[in-house]
Amino acid sequence: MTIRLKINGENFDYHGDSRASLLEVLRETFRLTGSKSVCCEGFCGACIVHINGELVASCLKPVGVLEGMEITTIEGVGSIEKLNPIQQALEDHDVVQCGMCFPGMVMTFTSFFKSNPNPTRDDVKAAMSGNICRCTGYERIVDALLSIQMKGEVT
Amino acid sequence: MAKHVDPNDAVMNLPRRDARDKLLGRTKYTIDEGGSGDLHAVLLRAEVPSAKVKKIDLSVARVMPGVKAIATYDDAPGLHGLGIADTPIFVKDVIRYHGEPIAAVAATTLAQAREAAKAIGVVLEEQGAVLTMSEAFADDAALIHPDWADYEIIFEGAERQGNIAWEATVVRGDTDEAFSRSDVTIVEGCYSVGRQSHVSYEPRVALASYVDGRFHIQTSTQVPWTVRHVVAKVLGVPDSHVRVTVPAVGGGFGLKFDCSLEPYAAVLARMTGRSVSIANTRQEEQMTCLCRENAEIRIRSAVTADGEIAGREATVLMDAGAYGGEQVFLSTMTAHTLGGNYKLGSIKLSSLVVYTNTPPNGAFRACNGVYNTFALEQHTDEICKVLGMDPVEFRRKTVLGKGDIGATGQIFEGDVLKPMLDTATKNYGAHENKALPDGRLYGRSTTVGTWFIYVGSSSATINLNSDGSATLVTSGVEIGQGTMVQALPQIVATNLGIHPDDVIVKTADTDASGRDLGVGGGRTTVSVGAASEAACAEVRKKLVATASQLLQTKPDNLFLSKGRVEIKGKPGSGMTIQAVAAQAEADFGPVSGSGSFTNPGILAKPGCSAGHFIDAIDMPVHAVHDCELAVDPETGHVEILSYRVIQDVGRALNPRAIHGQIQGGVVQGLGYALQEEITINKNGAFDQQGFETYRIPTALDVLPVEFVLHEGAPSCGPLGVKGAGEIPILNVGAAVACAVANATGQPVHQLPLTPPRVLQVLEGKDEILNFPHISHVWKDNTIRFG
Amino acid sequence: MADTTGKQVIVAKNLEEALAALTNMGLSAIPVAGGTWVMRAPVRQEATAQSFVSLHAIEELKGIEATPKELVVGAMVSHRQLAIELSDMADLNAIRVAAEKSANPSVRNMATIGGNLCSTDFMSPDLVPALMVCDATIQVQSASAKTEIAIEDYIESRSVRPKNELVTRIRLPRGLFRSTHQRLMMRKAGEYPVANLSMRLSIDGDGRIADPRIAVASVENQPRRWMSLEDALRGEVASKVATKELAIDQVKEFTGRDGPDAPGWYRLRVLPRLASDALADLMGD
Repeated sequence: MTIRLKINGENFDYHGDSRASLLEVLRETFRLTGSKSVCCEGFCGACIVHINGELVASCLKPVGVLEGMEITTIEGVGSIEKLNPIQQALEDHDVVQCGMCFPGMVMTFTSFFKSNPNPTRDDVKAAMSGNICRCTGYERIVDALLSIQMKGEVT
Repeated sequence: MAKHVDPNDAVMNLPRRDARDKLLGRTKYTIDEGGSGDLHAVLLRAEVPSAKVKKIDLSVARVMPGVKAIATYDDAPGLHGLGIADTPIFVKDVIRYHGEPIAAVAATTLAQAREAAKAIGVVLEEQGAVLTMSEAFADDAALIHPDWADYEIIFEGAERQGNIAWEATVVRGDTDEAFSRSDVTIVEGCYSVGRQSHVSYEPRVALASYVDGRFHIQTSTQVPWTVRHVVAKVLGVPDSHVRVTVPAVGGGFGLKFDCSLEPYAAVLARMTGRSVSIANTRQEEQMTCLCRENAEIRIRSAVTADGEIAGREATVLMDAGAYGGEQVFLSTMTAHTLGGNYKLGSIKLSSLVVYTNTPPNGAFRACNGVYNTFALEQHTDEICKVLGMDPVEFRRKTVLGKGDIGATGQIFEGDVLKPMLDTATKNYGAHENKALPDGRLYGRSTTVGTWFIYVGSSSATINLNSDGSATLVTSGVEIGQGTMVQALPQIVATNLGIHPDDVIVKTADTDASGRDLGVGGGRTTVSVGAASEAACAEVRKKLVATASQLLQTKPDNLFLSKGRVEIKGKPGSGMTIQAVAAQAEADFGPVSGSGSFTNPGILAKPGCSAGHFIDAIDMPVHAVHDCELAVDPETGHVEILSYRVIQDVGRALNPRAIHGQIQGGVVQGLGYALQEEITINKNGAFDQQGFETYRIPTALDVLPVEFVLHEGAPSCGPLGVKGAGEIPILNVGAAVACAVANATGQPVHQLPLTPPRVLQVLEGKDEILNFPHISHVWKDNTIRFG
Repeated sequence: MADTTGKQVIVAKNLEEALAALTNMGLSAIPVAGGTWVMRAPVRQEATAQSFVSLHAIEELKGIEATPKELVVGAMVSHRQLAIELSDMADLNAIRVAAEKSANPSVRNMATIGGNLCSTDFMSPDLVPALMVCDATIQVQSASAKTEIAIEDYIESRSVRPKNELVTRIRLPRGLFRSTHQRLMMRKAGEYPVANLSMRLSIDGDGRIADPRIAVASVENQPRRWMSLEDALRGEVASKVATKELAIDQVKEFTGRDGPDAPGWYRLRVLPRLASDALADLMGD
């Protein structure tokens, strides 16, 4: 049984057990290792991707239900030449430490800022409840995100 | 410190160069590496805490689909450890903890390896398990290591006996006399803490291959040279047959300050001739975490009416788990923490590292300093209550300062704690009772703490490149703290007169650089930094010698700045470093330099301490934390209202990076103080197996930490720095406990202060601990003096 | 016809296909809604030998039909969609709060109302007690039968209901009530509640409580109504303080369960606070 997945605009064919999680397939089969496997239970947010524009914990999504859906992973967000506004703010404020939680943070807030261009500190923190970080203690990440002035579409 | 270098030139908020790739998900940690040709390995782990192993049957598993090799004890015999070599990497014939590795299976796929592991037949005879330290102490307690007396001793001087893996003691002065004085009040208390788990996001993971008769291990570690040594030891090969390389590490916090999965990958790589990867699942990570140990403390002090501590005695039981590990070494730190901070007329301390049939503990950011500081500061506040003294005033009067003697007799340089306390009072005001409008109880605390920078061996080499850049080769590892991408390039750049962006930092490779104790204990900036500075001095000397010829100027009149060798007093009249280097290469060969560093060696008073790895701390580092909080008396929830840190940094090379460490370290400390709890069930296994049940702080549980960086304290570190990454966590347990005690009017004797425990404290129902297995008579708790 | 051979994921195009697959495959298949429970089986150390019959493509399970009399919610509606749809409904506010505060953002996108009802072993659901106080009825369907039952009956029977049956819709009657949901965690976010409580009632012209309904989850193994507190509150003047005291008297109806997240006594200890906070919320404090 082959599942055709559309990831970051590209087609990938998967031939394994379709009950496997999207996270496992991304990392092990397609070597898209930007999404991180940390808690495997949907609490930490390190595996978050976008599916049809919605935040999804990829560790909890069986790959067999994803045919026909648009999957965006961290590899599809920003580029070496041009970070997206969320990545740029985080880089400008020099908030990254070990880095493992940041792909998930970027995915969450890339989506969040599309519908919340001018959030309060509380809004940002509430949106961060599903992105746990062990290194930074969060507040500097929040400061960086609050500095984002949304002028147009986030891509 | 170098004469020609202005330390102020080094100070900058240099952004980290690895942020962009991390934000793009491009960074390859060890967990992301590995190719399609690699075999996957899993461990078969014990599911009981204590048993004799009668038989291990590999016959079915060996022939299952995809299986290439299965390793057991005989494939990698040999014991390793710190202080004593008591640790095998596989169960030989005795299981000592739930989760202990019995066998390692390598197969083509992970699923195949897991299936095969399940098919390994283990015949065992369960034995009674000793799960707590009080059980371990019982006269009729089973010996977890019946052959304890036969173990190779790696570090001499400690008493050991039965289930006591290690005893470290300090005796300075006559406490019996102090306690029998008529002008003293005696205050005594017992404290108990549970374990804390690091939860570094990248689990322990290793990739091993066997190439040209040598092992190459790529691993997520803080200590490449320890890995090299332990792998060699258990595999029975010379250390030089093992090469360890380390890419970016996704968090360590001390969990990776030990050899971990590498030997399993290595032995399977040798057996199969293939490259092998092995990683812990999150469940394995949690359940075999090398935790900050659980501990039990009895402390008592004889104090005069005006706050002089005539004598202090304490016993600390440190749970090692099934093997001695880090706790053997850490027994040294009781003296400098529980026995630290304050002027003491006399002191007796004993730290006992106790074996139990539970997963071994290890090192976690400021280790036993965290709970020793909690116990000490709570004990101090209780003393103040008894004496009717203001807790801040007591501390101002009694903290150690310049010329004062520490527990082991070392003489402290510099007044650091008192000025920091003064800053706290000046900035944050005196303690006041406050009524909160919502009926919650307000509490505040000001606590002090002392930790150490784990100085020790480090090496560095600098290769000056023809384009004027410099390559720094060390065994330092970037675990997220930023040192490898910020402080070190800043130090090198200042010393060579170039920009930090022109300092290439080579990732750790034991084939490329000299020995290094590892990353942790706040040591990277200090020790690796000092070695790097020494290497820079050699490079600078060579450049200046050649430039002196070219410019016809005495070396003393030359300095390096902005990529040039300049003549003092004649700006612009020098030459580029590239031009000088080119000439130097033509004359002598490519320009490089190497440097080393080790403990300067501060003296303790001879005869005070026994069984100590570190008698006196070369670089103490101090902190003052000030905390306000609110306690909900109905639910027991604690909300931190303000948290302030004054940290002794020596010199702040990258203040923004230090801010990151303070914010992160305090939050980890809040988790320890309020939420993170590990309970061990009857099967010797942790009840908390993952993120659902082990609660680390979320974004909504934290607040911005305010801080002041206290500079100028004496430091032997490069440019006067002290390590800043570890100490932010040191005082948090103490700060929260003392503030909750202040809010509730009740003493706090246990951490974490989860909401149910806070309710018990509030109602005076929290057990007043009085450990029956820790005698009131100090010497009865020692082997040496008992 | 979907390929039902072998262990994999079967994407049912409609309800009939899903029900037929579950009937034909028996215990070798399980229905999968959002996946947030099923996909954590490895972490619970349960085997995943079964095939998944995914419901995600079944249109008739995804909608919400609103009339003045009632709301009918498809089983596959996510927590997030539910929270948005219910944002102006004071009588169904308990469900909105439960849907909005549960778990975390990405899980709320994935977890469904049907899945929440069917997760028999999940002891801390937020939606279930909210649905209980809102008088929900549950439509269930198998290949051979279709019926609608009161939510309490569904919860009581769910562990023994046929495995080839699916929850299809949840019917919520509308009325002049106010409702709310309170949940207590150890941290401020990101975990299952240690105890939660939903409350629905109306307050008459004299300020007295009419028609109180209270449901509690996470305190025991299964969610249920707090009948004794309902009886005590009925007809009483609405007061936060009085509610707390009455709740303290009536907490004995429950036996708190000990768990790795909290001891049983603590869950009981916080219940009166949840009840009084809920009442205060409904009084508009």
